[in-house]
Amino acid sequence: MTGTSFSRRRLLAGVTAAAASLALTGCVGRRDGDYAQVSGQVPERFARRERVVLWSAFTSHNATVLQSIIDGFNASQQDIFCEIQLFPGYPALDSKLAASFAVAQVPDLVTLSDVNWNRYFLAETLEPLSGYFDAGFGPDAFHPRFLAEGTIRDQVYWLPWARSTPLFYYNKEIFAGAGLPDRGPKTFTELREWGHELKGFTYRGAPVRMRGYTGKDDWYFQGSSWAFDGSYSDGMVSRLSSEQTVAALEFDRAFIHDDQMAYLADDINADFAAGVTATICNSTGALTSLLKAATFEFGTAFLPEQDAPGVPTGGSGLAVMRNSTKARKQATWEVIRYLAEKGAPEWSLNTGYLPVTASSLNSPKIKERNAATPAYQVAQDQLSRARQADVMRRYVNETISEMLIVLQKVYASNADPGETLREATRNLDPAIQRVLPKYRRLVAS
Amino acid sequence: MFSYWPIVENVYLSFTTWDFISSQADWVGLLNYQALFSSWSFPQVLLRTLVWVVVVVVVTLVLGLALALLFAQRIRGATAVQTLAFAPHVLSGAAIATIWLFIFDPNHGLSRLVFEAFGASSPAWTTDDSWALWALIIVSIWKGLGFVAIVYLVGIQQIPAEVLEAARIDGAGRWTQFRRMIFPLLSPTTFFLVITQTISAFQAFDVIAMMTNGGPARSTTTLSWFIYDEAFNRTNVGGSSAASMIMFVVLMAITVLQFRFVERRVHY
Repeated sequence: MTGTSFSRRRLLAGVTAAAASLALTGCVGRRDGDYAQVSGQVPERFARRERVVLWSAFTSHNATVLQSIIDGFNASQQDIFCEIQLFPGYPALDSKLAASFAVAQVPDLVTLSDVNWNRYFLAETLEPLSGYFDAGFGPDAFHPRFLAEGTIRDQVYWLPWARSTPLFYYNKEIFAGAGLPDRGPKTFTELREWGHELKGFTYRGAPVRMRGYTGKDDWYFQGSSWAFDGSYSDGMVSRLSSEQTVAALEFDRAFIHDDQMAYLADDINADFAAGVTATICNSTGALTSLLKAATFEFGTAFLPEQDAPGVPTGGSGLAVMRNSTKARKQATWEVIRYLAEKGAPEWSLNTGYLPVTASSLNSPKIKERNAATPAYQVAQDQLSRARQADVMRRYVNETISEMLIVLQKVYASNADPGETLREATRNLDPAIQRVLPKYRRLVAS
Repeated sequence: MFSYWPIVENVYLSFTTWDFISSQADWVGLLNYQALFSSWSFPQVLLRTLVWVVVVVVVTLVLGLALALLFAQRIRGATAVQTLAFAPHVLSGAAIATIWLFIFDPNHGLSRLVFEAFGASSPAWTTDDSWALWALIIVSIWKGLGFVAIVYLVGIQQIPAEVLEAARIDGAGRWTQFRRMIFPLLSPTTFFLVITQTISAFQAFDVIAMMTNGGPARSTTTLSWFIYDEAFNRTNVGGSSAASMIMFVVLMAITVLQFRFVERRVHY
């Protein structure tokens, strides 16, 4: 009896294992072709229209602004209904989007950040958009520098929308109190010298430090690596452990641990608004919220240079999913057209993101706003010295995670910059090798 | 289907390399396991997880038992205090994390006031790698304490009063009663709590995600966060699945060992 039971069990186990192996080879991965649309809520009055689903990573105020623009689109015509589905930030949207491919049910239009759209491009999931332009709506509707960032081998895959650069923010009251000039420092060396002058200064009853660093974003270090003539990579060849990149990180280390005039903040915005730190580097996109939060006058300036300017572009753009149906993609293009021609000025005006379309660059309202609040004009002027992140940061997904560990080790634990960057280089090598064949096939010239 | 199929699929994924969106997962055999054990960071993650689990489980059980003994005394307001103590258990991890982030804030939080009262400055709880793990441990203990105390209280209330009365008549003091009678009679409760709290500590995620994201410098990266980080931040699905299998095996082994050896010391 025991023997029969044992044999039957083994037989069942064997059959299950074989079936599982067969099934698994088919269930992991992604089939090509037209995918279904993700489900959602369509109001009765829009039920007969072609539905376009827009996945947005914008929250709170920015989400309201985008909804208002899309409401305008839905009211402006009779054929298309655009539905926004919200996600709390890019990582949340990214993981949901990845999952949507697994079940072959995708949105049509997605806001993808400057460092994760490339991943979807390498996976061949983005629709090439150059063929959609026509005489009435051409590539000149977008800022050429930003449009070029989403163009690969003469095909546009990613259109500029919520684009930004880092900006130098300084508390004017603290600067005046400490006898510092009313401007941003020209170089990192000058910033450090000002840090020495600020030593012992108190503001609203508490000691102040010169700069609050964040350990949650390596974007700013991408810029300072350039300022010290270093970089993350030259093409796909890592330059993280180059003498210049190490020097950039050594500057931060010394400023924090030797001078004790900078520190790793949990929330740079909150600390700046509370007067805990005299300066921060933060996105141009944070300008509007900081203007609301700060109870003191603050100034904005270009990021400090050292041997060269170091201003990385960032933010997000719009991408169309290749596996959407032809009709949905055509309808999606109409949404994009409305956003670029009609929505973009309202978007830049209300969020603080850079004007990236002809409509917003020429908008009288934006010019008025910049004249009234020159901080916005500083952000626009700095654009001339900005460039997109290094190839490794854009295409090797692990780079940002690895660099966050490097920065946190140096900022929080006074780790040796050279050693940590060499270790990161070693850790990233397998990831580079994994991405390299696809990169060579689809991107490299 | 919903419980076991993901395990089967996870086993398969642990032998592949995949980024969630590529058209296919490539078979790489044992490479993901080799990569985990040859990296310097993964053993550190395991060691950190061990410290996390042991400290959280032991301290929560000891404090929970102490609290339960206190609740068992028939004193005024005990029910209200029990309700308050149990509240953190029903709150979401995200809400708890948000509250504690305010408390731990070295510039504006309660921590600053407390340390300043003693003439010291508050540690940077969540941004200093020597403090961050302990900050999360404090939050986890606070979150789990009420549940453990209530479960222990139920256990204490089930001990027959005449047994303790007989011990008292025989001259047993409070400590002897606890050591010789109460604690042994609570062994089924302790056994249950050790297993559930160990599994829960291994799987702790929400507080880490909300408060530190595994940082700074991976100082709060436990196995559960490592699995998430590999999959969703690094899109290394194969490596994440391999780490999940290791967690599965470790939890299975701990549970089997507890049933095989610890259960012998349980008095039902």
